[in-house]
Amino acid sequence: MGVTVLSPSAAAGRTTTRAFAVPWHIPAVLFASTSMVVGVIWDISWHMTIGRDTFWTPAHLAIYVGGVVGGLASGYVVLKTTFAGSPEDRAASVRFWGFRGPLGTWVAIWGAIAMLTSAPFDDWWHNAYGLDVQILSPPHVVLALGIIAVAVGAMLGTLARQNRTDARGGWIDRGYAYAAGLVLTFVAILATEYTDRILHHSSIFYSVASAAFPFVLIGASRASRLKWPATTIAAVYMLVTAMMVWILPLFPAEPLLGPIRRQITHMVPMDFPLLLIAPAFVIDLAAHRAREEKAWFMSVSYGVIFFVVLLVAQFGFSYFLMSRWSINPIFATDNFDYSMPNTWYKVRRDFYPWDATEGAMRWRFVVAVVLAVLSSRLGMAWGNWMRRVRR
Amino acid sequence: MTSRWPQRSRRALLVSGIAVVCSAHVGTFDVFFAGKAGAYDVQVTVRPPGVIPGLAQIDIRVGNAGVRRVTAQAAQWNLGARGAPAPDEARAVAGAPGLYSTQLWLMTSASYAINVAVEGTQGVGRVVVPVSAVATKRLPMVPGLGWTLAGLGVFLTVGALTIVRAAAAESTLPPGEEPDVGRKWRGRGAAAVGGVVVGALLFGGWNWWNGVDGGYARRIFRPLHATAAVRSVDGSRVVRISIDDGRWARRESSPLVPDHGKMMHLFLVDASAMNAFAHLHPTLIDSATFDAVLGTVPSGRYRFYADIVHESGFAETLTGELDVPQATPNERPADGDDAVWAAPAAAGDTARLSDGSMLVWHRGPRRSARVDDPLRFSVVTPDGSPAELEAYLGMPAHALVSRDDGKVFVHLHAGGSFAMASQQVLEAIQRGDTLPSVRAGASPRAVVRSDMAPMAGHTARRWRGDSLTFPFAFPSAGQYRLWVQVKRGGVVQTGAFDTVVGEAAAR
Repeated sequence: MGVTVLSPSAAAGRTTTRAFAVPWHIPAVLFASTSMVVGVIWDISWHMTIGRDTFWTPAHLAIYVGGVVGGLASGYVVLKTTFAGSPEDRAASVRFWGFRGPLGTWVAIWGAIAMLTSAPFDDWWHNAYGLDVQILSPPHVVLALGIIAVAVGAMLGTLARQNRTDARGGWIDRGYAYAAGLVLTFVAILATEYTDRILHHSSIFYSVASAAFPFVLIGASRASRLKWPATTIAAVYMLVTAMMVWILPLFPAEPLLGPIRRQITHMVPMDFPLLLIAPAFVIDLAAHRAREEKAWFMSVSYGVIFFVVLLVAQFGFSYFLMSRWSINPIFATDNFDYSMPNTWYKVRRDFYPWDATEGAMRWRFVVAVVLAVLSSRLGMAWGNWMRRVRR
Repeated sequence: MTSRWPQRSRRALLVSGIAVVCSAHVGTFDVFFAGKAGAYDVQVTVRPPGVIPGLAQIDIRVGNAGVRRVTAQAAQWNLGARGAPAPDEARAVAGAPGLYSTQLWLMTSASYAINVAVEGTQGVGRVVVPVSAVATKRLPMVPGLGWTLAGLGVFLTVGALTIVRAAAAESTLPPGEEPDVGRKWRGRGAAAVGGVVVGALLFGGWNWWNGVDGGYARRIFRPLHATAAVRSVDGSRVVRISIDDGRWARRESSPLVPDHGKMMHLFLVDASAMNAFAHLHPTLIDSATFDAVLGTVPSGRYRFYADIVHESGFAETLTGELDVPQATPNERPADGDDAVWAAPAAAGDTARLSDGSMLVWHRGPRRSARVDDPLRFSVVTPDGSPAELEAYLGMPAHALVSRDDGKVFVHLHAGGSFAMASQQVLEAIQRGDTLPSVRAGASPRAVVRSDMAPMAGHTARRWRGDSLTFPFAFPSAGQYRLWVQVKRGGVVQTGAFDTVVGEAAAR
């Protein structure tokens, strides 16, 4: 446990904490979050490459380890705070059914229990409806909520510490941005079925991206004390995802489920990350010039920026991704799963015609802008609250 | 990962615990094989999972010594072994000499070849066992699990709202400061709003689940719909089977191939007491219409079961009911391979055949559902010596099994419960280096026809009737009737037996 020195600051109406050492549970939950991100991406790659799995695959173990470490570390903090906590620890906690602990620990514990709940649910689901081959199913959503909750718990844990200290640019600021980047990565994984590169010229990709990402990017970055928070958070997402794209194919593997339509000798990675760093950078630029009191104006600005910059960046970049130039270890656009037929758009390197007409696509782009604005507004509200979280 | 976007969710009836009419047979999908894999005598039982993708249970019994390794592989019909994962080794079952067991994933609703290989002192023996993989049931949630999940759901919901309350009332307070009344109410208000949001999410999730469930229910296998009607042609009664299913009209399944040299095997079973039975072979009028002369079939209400095999090796049984009118004096004789039987079942284990020979069922004291229990028969002449049997559709004997309610109907032959044409198609596809259907002059129809040609020549073949064995396990408890058909003196002879099958032993 780290040593903290408290110095009341009555003028500011807040308690300022200077941490001399890292409390062990903060890196523990950050490790938990990292383990789960790696595990989930590894597991999806496993299903793209090998197909057959058991409870004990290394990818599953990485997810379980994350859940167990996140849940147990948080549970320990709660028990210690409740029954043997210092006055300072108890003062920086919230109540939950008679127990006390920082908000982030409760969120992480909730996530761990949700992950536990999903296990028998998912097992029954497979027995009742067959092994699901998609990411989004009700039990998988329960698992995803649990995983994201553990990751958000890690984020809130670092956030409360960050908000209790005056120092800027320290480990806790970076730790928070890293935790937020992992949350963004989870959200991106959940949206995977709608962010495939063959959809990058379709309205559905921009609608889903506009609904999901501004909320996390803007919400998390508002509470960050870094100069380029959205850029940093998006960079964490891109780096983590890209690292998995680069590392996984280094391992030999072959399919153990049929039908096998492709010769596969190594792990197949997920798609190269989305260029979220582009809208994130422009959002940071706008935030540097923003006037705080005009929340809706800022939301509209952020939403439009996100949509336009993502459209320009991803629409253009996808030409490269769909070309044969991108078949290399960096972009890995030969990442076809073992059962993908040669006739599928991705193999043919064609964009999927989601929108029947260009007119329909333009109209849906308008809807995507509205979604981006609403997502930004919600993100701002969330971020404003997170700025004030101290427990 | 193949991008497969979910179909639009549609609300539908929640179905539970459906066990439905099934493919190559009715009321069961289990496949039994008995025969040779190279030099080895093997019996293979395949119990499909009932849900797709799911794990099929594969049991392989080898009758020879010196076996080193037994493997099994599930190959989707159009991809063959080249599109299948490496074979899985079947493990020897402790306490059951010669029995090997494994599980294989059936990933798509399609015809599959189960490639069994036995390696040992007599070399490598291989055999293909066809399986039609389709979803046939949905597992109901057992109350214990349901209550556990509901309890965890309530715990998570209340927990989430408690966290929301704490987040709104306390988390933003400076450490040590107690929330005032206003903050406490703000916390309660946030929890109330959170409750509405969580309720909406749960409602959406419930609808989603129902949509998935309804979609699954629609994907549960239904054989092609067919109707049967009897009309008079030149004074003779002719039954017409018409496939009037939109899926057939839209060519969602592959064309038909002949099985045992016939495009369709039509069985009529007296719906009241099963005391009349016919095994007919309608001729193809067009791709959806089949005609058969009824011959001496007695009048009455009948259930019909029409076995067909697709080019993919997928076998299914079309079912329905029909009314057969009174026979006329000028009935045309039926096809030479057709057989009509009208009598009660044998009172005991011996049925007298029309030529005076005896069909004897060598049955054990009792039968239980889902227990491998081969049906053993012999045919003896009146003086007690084994009778000589002629080839009936290329086989020494055929057996038909029906439960009294008509919900189970199985067509067996000495090789097992699968359609011979399915096995031939799947073997042919796996022999080739490309799809037979795209190789000129080598479509599965051509393969089966060419393979059936020598089988037609087998009509000269003879068997001794002292040991007729049909590998089988009754799929469920109930009252059953068995018809066993052999050919002697150029005439198909039918014997019938009744039996009661008990519930499956608890596992």
